[in-house]
Amino acid sequence: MNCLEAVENFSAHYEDSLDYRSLKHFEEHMATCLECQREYDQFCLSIKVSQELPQIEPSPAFLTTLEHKLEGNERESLTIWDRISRLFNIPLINMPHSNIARRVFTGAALLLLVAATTTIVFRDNLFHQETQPDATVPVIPSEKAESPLIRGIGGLSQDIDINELFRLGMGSEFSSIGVSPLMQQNYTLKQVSYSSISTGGGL
Amino acid sequence: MVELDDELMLRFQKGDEEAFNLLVRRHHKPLINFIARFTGDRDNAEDLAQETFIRIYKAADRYKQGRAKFKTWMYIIAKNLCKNEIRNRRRRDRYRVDNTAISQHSTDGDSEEIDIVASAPASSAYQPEVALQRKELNKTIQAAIGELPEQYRYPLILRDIQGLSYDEISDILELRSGTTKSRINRARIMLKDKLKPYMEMI
Repeated sequence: MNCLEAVENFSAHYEDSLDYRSLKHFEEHMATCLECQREYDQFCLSIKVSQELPQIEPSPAFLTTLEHKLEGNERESLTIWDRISRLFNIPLINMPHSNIARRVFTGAALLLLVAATTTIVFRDNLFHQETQPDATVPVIPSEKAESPLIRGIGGLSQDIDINELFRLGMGSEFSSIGVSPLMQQNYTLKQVSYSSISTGGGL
Repeated sequence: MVELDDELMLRFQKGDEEAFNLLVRRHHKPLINFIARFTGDRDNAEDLAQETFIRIYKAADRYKQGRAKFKTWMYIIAKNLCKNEIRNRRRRDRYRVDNTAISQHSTDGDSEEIDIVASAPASSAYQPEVALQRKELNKTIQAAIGELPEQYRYPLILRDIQGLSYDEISDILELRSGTTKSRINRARIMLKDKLKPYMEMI
């Protein structure tokens, strides 16, 4: 241990908090260094005198003055923030780093809020999204798109009633994919999107 | 059996004003001492201590057990008030210096500050010479502490004068334990260096 290291350990030695190894090195150094010995003696003495500074007695009127001052004050009610942090047991109020913690928590809460809102919006779009007409696909004129099937082929996504298709004589196309007449009576295909682009033999 | 500070705060939160009075009576002396040692101004220390208690009174419902000790909370409030006070005093002093330079008045120089050592009660075994010497020494020590930079003065006062633990000091000063220890060691070395010329007296 050199002099600089010894000085760094003055307080720890004074308070008996050095571990065995450090204590051994400290005392070995102190036994050989007169300068550090003198410095350490003065160090201990300065602590002693500062600890012996007299306690300052408050004036006799201190408590009564405080009582008078308190009379004009009311206890603050909890803020919304305090209620929330208390509700979720967030250790922010009395923490030393409360300001930092509050900012971090507020930031995290805002991010969560944005994420939750975005998820809800996108989820709605996912289930209720209407397929927009493909610009590369030619639009079928309206008079040709009277039947639901043709309208579907035109690229529109919509509900197609199978019963309607059978009524129009196009039920055979669906028979090939195993739709029984009973099912045909009860089921409606939802949101089937067709396009005029070849599907390679499938629907 | 002595009630813990936390228990008293809980009682006060439920509306028991007497619990708050007990807390005040328990802590007002060390608090005034801390503020006076830090600011070097006894009268103002009482005002600041009262302001600390008023803030505790008003914000009592925000205190929650188990998160921080009452004492730590109290010292954090007091520390912040002290910082504000010192900042305001610096501004006032700057203004006063400017005014003095203009009007050449220096009558109210340090009249606001009261010698906190002189106002301390005298020892029972009164010996004029020893008492005078002791008074001078205390003044010197107080001045030396007052000359320490704030970041060293706080931990030194909290540790060596108030007798708080390292953990409590770390909480109050919002420092890591290692930083607190090294600052206290550094503050003590600085104080020792400042008191070196007076070591004969000590």
